[in-house]
Amino acid sequence: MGKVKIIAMSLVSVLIVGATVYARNYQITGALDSRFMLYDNQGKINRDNFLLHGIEVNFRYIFQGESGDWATLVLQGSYSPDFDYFSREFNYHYGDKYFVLKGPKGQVNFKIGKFVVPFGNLQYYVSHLLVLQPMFARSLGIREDIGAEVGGYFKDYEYDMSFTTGRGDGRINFKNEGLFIFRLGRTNGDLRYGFSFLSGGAPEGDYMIGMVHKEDEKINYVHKNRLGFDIQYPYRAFTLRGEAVFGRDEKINVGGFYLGTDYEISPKIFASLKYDFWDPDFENNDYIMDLGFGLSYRINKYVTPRVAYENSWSKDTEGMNKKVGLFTAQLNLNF
Amino acid sequence: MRILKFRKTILILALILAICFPISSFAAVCVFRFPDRDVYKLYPKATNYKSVLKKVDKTAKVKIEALLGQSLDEDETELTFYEVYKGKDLIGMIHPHAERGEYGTIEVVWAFTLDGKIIDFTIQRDREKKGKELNGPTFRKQFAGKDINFFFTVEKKREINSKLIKPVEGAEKGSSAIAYGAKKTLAFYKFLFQEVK
Repeated sequence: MGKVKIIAMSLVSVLIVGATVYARNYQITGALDSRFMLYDNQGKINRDNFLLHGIEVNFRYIFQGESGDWATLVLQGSYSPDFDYFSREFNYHYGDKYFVLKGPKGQVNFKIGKFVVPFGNLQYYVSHLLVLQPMFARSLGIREDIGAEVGGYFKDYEYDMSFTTGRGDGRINFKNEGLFIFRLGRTNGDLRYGFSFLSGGAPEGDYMIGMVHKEDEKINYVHKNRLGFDIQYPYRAFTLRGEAVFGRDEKINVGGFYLGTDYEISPKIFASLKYDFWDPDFENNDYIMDLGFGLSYRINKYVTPRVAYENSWSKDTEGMNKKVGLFTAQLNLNF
Repeated sequence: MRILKFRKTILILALILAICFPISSFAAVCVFRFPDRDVYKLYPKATNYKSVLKKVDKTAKVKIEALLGQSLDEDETELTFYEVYKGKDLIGMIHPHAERGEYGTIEVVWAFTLDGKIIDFTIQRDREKKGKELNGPTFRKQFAGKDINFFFTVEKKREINSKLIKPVEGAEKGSSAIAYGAKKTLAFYKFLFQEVK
């Protein structure tokens, strides 16, 4: 079946099924993320500048009994003609498939499947369709992974503990040493913050700049330890976010931080700013920095165009400097 | 060229579908950010909750807009309510609802009885200067026990009825957003639950 037919059928099935229901315990939705990307000094525009980043169809079913909800199933069908299904870039963003068994009073919930790992601000900052991303690609090298998680709330405190394969490429393979993550968080009014701990095998961080991994590239796995602190605070028209992460890749000390903010210019127009800095080896003078600015205009709940410009600077162990600028125009459709 | 044509076709198809067949939204207008925490804050004796998704059909929309004297927001096509249980007994309802305050949306989680009387509310997110006062007991208590027949706002407007509810000083816009949110939440409940039983 052709790519056009696959995508068209996915979109139409979402619309047809969605239109037939009025009150229910399931939701079916979809999204399409298409982008035009242009690097500084690239020269002639070619077909690689146009990208269908991904299309997703989401199915969420809530299992209900006489005394309430007891489980949730989330299945996401996702596809991109421009990324390999097992590529890291694709698996940073797509492929949620998990089952959550609810415990009493929200205090102990079990999750199994492929989900976003509960480290730092990934726990609450849903960024998978955004252009400007937080720091996970540099600091963790992973966002979604296959495994199990337990988490819940005790008053204003939340905890999450996960054990996953540590592969981050969407493949089921238990040969990897596994990845353990624990996060303890608190919400105090509008302030949300947490401490995270990670240990185990995980993909080597994304230290190349100006690279979009379209193919199923070979991923190197290293033993990582990380300690993280994340914070989010909505202040007036701003939503302020921060994250600091330190740790080791085998015997190499690594660390960095992320700062980001969204500003609501009007109910439909948002500006975003982000900055992150990552040092892949404290012993050397190498580093990677990203600075990005974006604007999004929410035409309605179905159509949101965005533009963003992100500049990355890096210095390698031999002192070579590199700078890459990337302009992205995104059309994000939601159904 | 074939790739460009393919992408162009997909984009046009998706745009047409998005514009012509807007039927479903993944989340209701206001996401309930912490159900596993806030349900038990508002109902300390609760043991569980049940999510109920309701579509606002044309009949309900007309009735709700007539009662409010205001148009619904374009996003308000599908809403999530939460039935609150103690064991197998249904003891109350919850509905998260967002209205625009002075500095952005104020997300309020409303708790009310099965016959549509407000029990309490909690603000799950706001950006107001007087956010603490808006979420404080003095302002909140004024809503307790009120139902859809109460004049939360000036008739057919979004402005708080300051003769019956004292707004937080210096946060009139935020107070109005909450008062209008109370009225709208109870109107949704009336026409999506009470009148369809």
